[in-house]
Parts: sequence; C-alpha cells; structure tokens
Amino acid sequence: MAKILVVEDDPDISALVVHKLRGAGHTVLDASDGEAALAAIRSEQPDLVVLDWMLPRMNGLEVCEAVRADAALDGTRILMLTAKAQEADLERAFAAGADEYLQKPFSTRELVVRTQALLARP
Amino acid sequence: MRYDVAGWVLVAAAGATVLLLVVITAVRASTIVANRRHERERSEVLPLLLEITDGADVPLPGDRRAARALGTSAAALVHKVRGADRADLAGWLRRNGFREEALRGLRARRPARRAAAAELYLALDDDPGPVLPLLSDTHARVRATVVRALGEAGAVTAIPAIVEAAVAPRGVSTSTAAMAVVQAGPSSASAFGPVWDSADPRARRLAADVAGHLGLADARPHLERALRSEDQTLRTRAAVALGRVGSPLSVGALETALVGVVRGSVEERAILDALAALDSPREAR
Repeated sequence: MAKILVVEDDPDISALVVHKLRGAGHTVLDASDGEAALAAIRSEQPDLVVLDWMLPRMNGLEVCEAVRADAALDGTRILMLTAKAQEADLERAFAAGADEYLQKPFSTRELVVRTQALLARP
Repeated sequence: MRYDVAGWVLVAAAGATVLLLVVITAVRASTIVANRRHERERSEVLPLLLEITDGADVPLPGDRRAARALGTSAAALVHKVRGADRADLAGWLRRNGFREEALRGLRARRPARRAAAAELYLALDDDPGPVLPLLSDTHARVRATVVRALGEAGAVTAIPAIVEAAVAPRGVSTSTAAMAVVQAGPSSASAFGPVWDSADPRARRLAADVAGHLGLADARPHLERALRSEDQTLRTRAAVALGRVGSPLSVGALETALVGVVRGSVEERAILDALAALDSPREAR
C-alpha cells in the first residue's frame, strides 16, 4: 500500500480523509499548512499528496509548483482537494502540476477511488 | 486648586487605562480558555464522528458537553461532504433531534445562530419552506447565507423566492442569487415559474442569464418574448441566452429583433453573435 500525505487546514476534513485512506490500507501522514507540507514531502517522499488549495503560510498551488520544480520529488502524485470551483481554477491547478482535481463538498468514497486510480497510473 | 484638578484627571485617566487593559486581558484569556476547551471537546468526540461517517448508529453521548460537541462537529461537517458521508451524518443528526433544533434556531435572536440554523436545516430536510422567510431577514449576512445554502441544497422549488430576493430592496446581490440558482441546478425553465412574467425586468434578466448559462432548451419561448421587452438590457441578455441555448428555431425571432435595433449597440452585437452561434451569421450593418 502507498504512503499518502494529507494537507488540509480544516481539522474535521483532515481527520475524515486520513481515517478513510487508512481504512483503505494506506500509510497516511498529515500536515495543516503549506510550509509544513513541503517539508514533509521532502523528508517523507510520499507516493501521493492530497492537497488543499487554500492553506496558511503557503497555498496549495505554490506547494504544487515547488514539488514539480524539485527533481528529487519526481513521481510524486498530487490530488488537489479544493472548494475552488471555477474552470479557470481547474486549469491553474493542472498548469501548476496537479494530477487530479476533486471539488469540495466531496465524497470520501470518490476520493478513495480516485486515489487508487492515481496510484495505479504508471 | 487647578493643580489638584489636573492631578485627579491624571489619576482617573491612568485608572481607566489600567481597567481597560485588565478587561482586554481578561477577555483574551477567556477566549483562549474557551477555544482550548472547544478544541479538547472536539478531539474527544472525533472518533465518534468518524464512526458516524462509517455508517455506525452512534448513540448521543450522555454527557451534555460531549453531546453538544459531537452535534456541532457533525453539523459543521455535513456541509463539507456529499454522498454516503453526507447521508450518514444527516441521518444521525435527524435521529438525534437536530432538525427540530435547527427549526427552533431559525427564530433565534442572534443573526449568526439564525444563519447556522438555516444551513443545518437545509442539510437535513428537503422542504426549504421554513427557511424562506429568512430571505427577507433584517441582517444581510443571514439573507446571503440562506441563499447560498438553498443553492447548495439543490432547492429548485425555492428558485422564484431566490430571484425575488435578488431584486428586493432588502435582499441579496444579483451575483449571489445567480450562483445559488445555478448551483440549485434547475433542469427546466419551469423552475423559474412566475419569474418569467415578473413586472421587474431585473428578475427576468437574472432568469435569462441562468437559463442561457445552463442551456435550458424550454426557456426559448420566454427568451424570445423577452426580445420584445421595453428593457434594452433584458433584450440583450435574452439574445445572449438564446445563442447559448442554441436552438435554430430562434433564428426568426432574432432576425426580427435585429430590424429595430440601434446600429453599433451592444444589443445589436449580442443578436449578431447569437445568430452566428446558431449557424446563421449576419454582417454588422
């Protein structure tokens, strides 16, 4: 099973996502701001990051760009989980290097399924 | 004598300053203590909250504080999820009397409580009726929250009331109302009901915008009628909407509207663009 980092500043959503991903058999870490997330990505090298957009200190888009700019983190998959709903937001997320995009309010079942599909990609 | 008065004023000012600092410190300290207690209570009930999202029928804790913390957490989370998680949380909240509590909260004195009660009620009940009076609440924040919550709840039957709130003197912004209507997701123009015949062209403009945005094919007769309105903005928006709906049956109505339109106007541009979108382009005159 994969190592996943959940980056979310809402403690209830974070706990829920961590719980459901652990239930799916993954090893799950969590962070609540952008800087802590980037530090955890560099030290823990997770297979996948579930990343909120609106975060304290460093937003999700900046984290995404920093990961893509770091050759040592090549292969880290990123799923953006965000309340931003405009088409332009989706384009910005993919342009910044996100692999998948899920809009809030969200279904944890869908999140787990998308996570599995993303991890299965070559 | 003058020195004495000045001295007393100085002492009084210093006393008032010290008192103010004491009050500020006390308020800050009590806020920190309350936040910490809230956080501790939230952490304690978190495992129960997660059990609820796993579909377990968790009994309401006997301890009042824990019961309130679990209810508050579940009520906050129910808006942030959908699908099975939302169904599980909403079911648990309904079974434990939170729908009735939300109904009581709609009449609360504090605006924030009324807004929160409306949001919670709409997450737990399909009938938006009880919250509609809050669309004319005295507080703008309550009105805006209710409109947004109606949209999130997919309350299609509330669409005429939302549009009415957008044009009311004490209502909500047009953009907030339009977003809520789009989010409610009407599948037919009939969801707008009396709005199409409203005496207020602003209401019909909003309906035209949303119908065009959503591509509601059965809005065509209403939009074609709006092309003959005395309100130029409505005529322009109706033309844009007909272009988006995309029915070639509208070409005749657009051509007729083009005859009397002011050359070089925004309205003319909208009609020409709509005709082009319907594969019936015309040259600007």
